[in-house]
Amino acid sequence: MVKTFFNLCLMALVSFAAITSPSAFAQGGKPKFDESHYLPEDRPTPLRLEAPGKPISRTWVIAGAGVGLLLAGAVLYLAVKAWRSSNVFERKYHFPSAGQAALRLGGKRSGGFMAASEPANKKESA
Amino acid sequence: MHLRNKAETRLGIFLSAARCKLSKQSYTCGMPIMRCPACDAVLREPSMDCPQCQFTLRKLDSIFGAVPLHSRYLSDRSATLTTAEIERLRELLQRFERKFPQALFSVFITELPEKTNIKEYAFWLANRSQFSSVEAVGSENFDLLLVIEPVAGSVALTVGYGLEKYLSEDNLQAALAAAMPALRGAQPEHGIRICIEEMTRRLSELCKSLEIEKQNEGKTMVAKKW
Repeated sequence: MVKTFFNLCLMALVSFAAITSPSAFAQGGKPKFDESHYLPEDRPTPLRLEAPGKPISRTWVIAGAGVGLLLAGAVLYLAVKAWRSSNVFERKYHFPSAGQAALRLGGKRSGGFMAASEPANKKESA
Repeated sequence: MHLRNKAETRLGIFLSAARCKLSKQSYTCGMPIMRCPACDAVLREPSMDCPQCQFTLRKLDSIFGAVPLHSRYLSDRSATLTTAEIERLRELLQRFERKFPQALFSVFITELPEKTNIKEYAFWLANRSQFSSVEAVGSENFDLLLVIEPVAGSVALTVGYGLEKYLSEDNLQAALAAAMPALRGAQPEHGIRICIEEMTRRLSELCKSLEIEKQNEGKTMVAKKW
C-alpha cells in the first residue's frame, strides 16, 4: 500500500516537472535566423566618404604636366641614344673600297701597317 | 711603384687618345706612314724590299718556316686561355664580323723564340696565314690581326691594306695601350676584349663619319644640280 502510494507520488512529481520545464518550442527571445542579412539594405553605400579637399590650382597642374613632359622627353632621349649606340639590330658597317693598294715588302694582304708594344728590356736586348 | 706604373699607363692612354683625336681628321687622308717591320725605317714609297735593311717577306719564310695551325677567329697555341675564355672571345669576334662583314678580327697567341721581333712575325703571319678568304688581298683586305706573345709580353696589332687608308698608327697604338695593363696584369681575356671593343668603337665611329661625309657629298651634288 505504502509502496503504491510512493509510486503514485513519484509519477505525479515527474509529471509536474515535465509540465513546468521550458520546452524548445516554448523558448522566448530573438530567433536565430535573421532574414535581414538576406534582404537588400535600405541605405546605399555612400559615394564619398572623405570630405572634399582643397582643389589643386591650375598653375600647379600645368607646371606638373610640364615637368612630367620634360622628364619623359629626357628619358626618351637617353633611351634612344643608348639604343642607337648598342646596335640592337646588329647594324652592319661597310668600308668603301680604298682603290688600288700600294703593295710593299712582298706582302699581298698586309704591308706591315701596325702598332706594337714590347717590354722595355726586350727592346734593349734587341 | 705599382701606382706609378698605373698612373703612367693612364697618362699613356690619355696622350694616345688625345693624339688620336687630333688625327681624327686624317681618317680619309691619302697615304699612311709606311714603316719597315724589321728596322722601323719609314718607307717613302712602296717597294718590294726595305731600302735600309733589305727586308722582304720572303726572308721571313726561311726564319719562321711553315705556317702554324690557326683557326679563323682565335688561336691559342700557348694554352694561355681557358676553354670558356676562348668561347667568349670567339663570340665577341664573331659579333665583330657581323658588324663589319668585310673585316675579320683574328687573335693569335703563341710563344716565340727569344729574339724574335713580334712585328716581323705579325707581318709574316698576316700575309702567309689564311684567316679570311683567298680573295681578301690588296685593298680588299680589311682584316685585323692581334698577335700576343704571353711569355715576353709583346703584342702587335696589324691591319690589311684595305684599312690603312682609314686608320692611323695612333688609332692602333691607342687600342693596344688600352689593352696593355690587362694583358700584362695576367688578365689576357680582359686585355683582348678591351682591344677588340676599342677597335670596334673606333671603326664604328669611322664608318659613321664616312657615312656623314657621303651624305654631305650627296647634298652638295643635289644643291649643285639645282
